[in-house]
Amino acid sequence: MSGDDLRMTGAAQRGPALAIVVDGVPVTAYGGESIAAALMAAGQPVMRWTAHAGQPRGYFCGMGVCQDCLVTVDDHPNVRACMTPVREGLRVATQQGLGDLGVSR
Amino acid sequence: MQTVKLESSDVVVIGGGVIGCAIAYHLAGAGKRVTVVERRGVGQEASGANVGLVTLFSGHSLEEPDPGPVYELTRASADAYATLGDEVGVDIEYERCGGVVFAETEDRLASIRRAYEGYQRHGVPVSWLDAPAVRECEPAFSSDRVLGGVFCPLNGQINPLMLCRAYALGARRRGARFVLGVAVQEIYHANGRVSAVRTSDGAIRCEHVVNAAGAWAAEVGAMVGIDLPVVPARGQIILTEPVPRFIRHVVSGAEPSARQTRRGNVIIGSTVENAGFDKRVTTDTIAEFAAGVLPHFPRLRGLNVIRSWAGLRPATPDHKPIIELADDPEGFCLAVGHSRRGICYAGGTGQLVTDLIAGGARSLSPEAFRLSRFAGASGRWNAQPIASAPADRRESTLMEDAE
Repeated sequence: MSGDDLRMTGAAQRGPALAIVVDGVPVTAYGGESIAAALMAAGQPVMRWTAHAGQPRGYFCGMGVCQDCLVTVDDHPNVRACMTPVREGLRVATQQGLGDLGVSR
Repeated sequence: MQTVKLESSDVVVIGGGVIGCAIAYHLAGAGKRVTVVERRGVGQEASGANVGLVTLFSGHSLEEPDPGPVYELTRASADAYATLGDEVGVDIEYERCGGVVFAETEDRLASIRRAYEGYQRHGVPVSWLDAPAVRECEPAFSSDRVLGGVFCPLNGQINPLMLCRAYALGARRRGARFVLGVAVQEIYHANGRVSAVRTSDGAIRCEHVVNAAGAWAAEVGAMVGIDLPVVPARGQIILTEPVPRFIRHVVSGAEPSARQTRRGNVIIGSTVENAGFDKRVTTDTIAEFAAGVLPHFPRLRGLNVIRSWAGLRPATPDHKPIIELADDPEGFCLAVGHSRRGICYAGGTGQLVTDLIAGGARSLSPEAFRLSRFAGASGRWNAQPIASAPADRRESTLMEDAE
């Protein structure tokens, strides 16, 4: 964990370190974390930009309801960062608008 | 009478749904001092639980093949929406994108043909489509069984929540007062005339009371001894994640219907169910929606459903509203029973109620919307209760053209 890491220290027990890729940059996450937790800990609170107004959105309700923390994961848009656990090699992209793949996927 | 805590008003509108808000907007525009009393918040019930279609030619046209009062009420509403956004400065996302009404059976095709001819005679723009033309008109729509249909360029879609907001905001700017989170407990009426409304927050003296209480209209009617054939009809709705626009037009006749919102979410619905005041969403209905919508809109396959909800529509036996100034008690106005087309009728209802109360020039005729059309031999309305959910749910509960 780097000095910038926002994770708790001390009593917290976490899973093994995993390498994920966020917007092309390698980031360390830990087993059991959600994508949202990993992004927040890495100091990246903006998870998507809205389609019409181009405004930033991120972790809000934290329980899968508000649809604000949508990211693109392994080329699939609209994945809820707060509800999706990290895994080794996962590629996360800050989502622009509705994402790239559109309807058929 | 208890202490009058609230200021008096010319008109008290009971209900802050799209109907009550539209009425407040038009009445305030006619110079009336208006208070809207709403138990919850603006647009919290059926106004927010609908697909958001504004259809001039649709299922209702088959029952009224020569455009009549229902058409005129819808037309007045659609015309009002065309300018409302700019009047108030709220984007209500009203798009007159045009719509297709299609048939998969010969019987329905004949009904559509009859209405098409009537509308054409009346000068409403409609064009006849053969089966390939239906498919060509809306490429997102798919059907092997389509026989033909009609395209009406006036059909469109709207954001019903923003419509409520625009009417409420516009009404407030015109001086209307909104009393939210406050329930009506009693309507004072003596000597055959309403005089005040008692709420959980005090009483409001007034000349007129408008019942715009949606699914709860019968409860309000009973406060002045008027028996209303308005019952709650549950409508369930599901919403997908947003995707780039692929449904261009309104498609009527599919069960369930689907429309794509400005943000790209696809809204799919809805049922018409007799479930009392139960607003729960049922899992079998969600599955039914998914199974029913995919053959007609195959590109929906793989999309996530992100929301589901239900609302209670104010249903009348003939699915038409009751809009009338009562004789007894005087000053009591009905604007109820808009069934599943409240969004199609709100603007027109606001104008008609204002004509009735403020005595303006009448652009719309209220005759077709009188309560007395339900009168049976007993002199009371003779409403058939809506059927409880029978075995074949597809036939009975997925009512076509739910807007």
